[in-house]
Amino acid sequence: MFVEELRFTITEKKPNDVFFLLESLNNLLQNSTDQLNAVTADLIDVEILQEIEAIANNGNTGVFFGKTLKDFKLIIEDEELRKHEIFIQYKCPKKLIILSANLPLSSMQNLEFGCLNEIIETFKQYVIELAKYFYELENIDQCCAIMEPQNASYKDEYRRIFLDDRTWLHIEVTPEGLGSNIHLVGQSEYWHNKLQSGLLNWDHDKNIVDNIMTIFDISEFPVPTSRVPEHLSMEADGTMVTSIVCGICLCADLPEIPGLPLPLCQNSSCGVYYHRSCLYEWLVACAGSRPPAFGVATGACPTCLQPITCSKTDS
Amino acid sequence: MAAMSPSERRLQKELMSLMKEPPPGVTVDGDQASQNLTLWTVHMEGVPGTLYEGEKFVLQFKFTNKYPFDSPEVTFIGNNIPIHPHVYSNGHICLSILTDDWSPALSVQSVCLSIVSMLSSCKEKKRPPDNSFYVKTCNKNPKKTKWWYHDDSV
Repeated sequence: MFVEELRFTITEKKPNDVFFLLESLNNLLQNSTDQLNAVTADLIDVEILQEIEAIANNGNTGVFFGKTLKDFKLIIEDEELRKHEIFIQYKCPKKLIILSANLPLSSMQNLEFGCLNEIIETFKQYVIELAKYFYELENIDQCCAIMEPQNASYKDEYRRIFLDDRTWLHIEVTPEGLGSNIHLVGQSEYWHNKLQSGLLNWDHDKNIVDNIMTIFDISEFPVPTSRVPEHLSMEADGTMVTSIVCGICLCADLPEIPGLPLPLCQNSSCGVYYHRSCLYEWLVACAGSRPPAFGVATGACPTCLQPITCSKTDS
Repeated sequence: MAAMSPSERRLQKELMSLMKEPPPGVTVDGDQASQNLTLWTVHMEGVPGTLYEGEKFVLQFKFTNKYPFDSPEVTFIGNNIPIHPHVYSNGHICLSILTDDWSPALSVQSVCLSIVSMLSSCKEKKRPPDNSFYVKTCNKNPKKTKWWYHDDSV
């Protein structure tokens, strides 16, 4: 190919000075080097290919290629038949890293692995260690109405549980399966008092759901009633979804900022939800764009005009 | 699709719902609005049984990229500007929710409904008392006017 092009340059274009010939030669070489780089950038070694083949033939674990040969996805099934996805990047021979997975990964990120089987073994061990974490999350998802995250998965270490139209309970589950950072979203005095006195009696021998039921003295979890403002909204891809939207931006989730609309207005006859960031921006704008004292903006609810407060970040 | 700004996203959603379920007597020019989301033309019919029965009006909405934190600029345009104590002959409307009392919870739909109700509650067709002076001296943008809200009865 290269020789052919060189011959073409010399015979057809008939260069009449040596500089032109050199320049053509240089261009050709440059193009060839670029092509070579482009091809080798997507190459992986034979060892890993054989390993992939072996894993694929074994049948217990699924192996898939991503956009390039250097991106893999493993699907590992655990003993409870949960499917776990792991995204892996091939850095160079005997050097693999985990990009992401459907689990909290703090202990595994930035680790380098020599081969895929090493990842699979490490991951399986990790899944066994997370047994209590899975149990608690599954129990919460089964018993409670989850307001956030939408489509909660094992990757999400927190849940926001519906208590009433203006109050949710935020709880995080540690990899050991313990509840942490438990607090209310919303300012209900009723739930707040129960939570304050009940947290002291947390029983670590009982599961999280039982503990929450004891704290709030409930026999079953409340479910959202139709009073929650649900709106039919059109997604970017044209599908219609029913979700709680923010009274200011009319969206459910924002691409730039994580978090769903919250029951921030405490007026029982209002019940419109807002993104914390949207309401904060409005209240600060109303106050002449001065940043509020202690990071808490105050003003009137845009919908019902009752007094409302909003901090910039979640407490 | 290119990434939309928050104001475009909200306008897009409002346009969809206004085209799908318009309030009685109100129609939005959907083609024009989807071409340019910051400039809408809304057609409005006088409500039967009121002084404006059978009349047709055209409203223009202009939005900035700060919408809905910034209120829309709303004026009557075209040949038929309603004769009303709060509507100047250049199309400017004296309505508190369009300036001081604007809230991001309001929408094109709620502004249209407010204007329909403002027209419908009118008892006598007349221009504002300061009409000729105002029209001569005002800024092109009604939001630049320091409105003195005369009364709440109409």
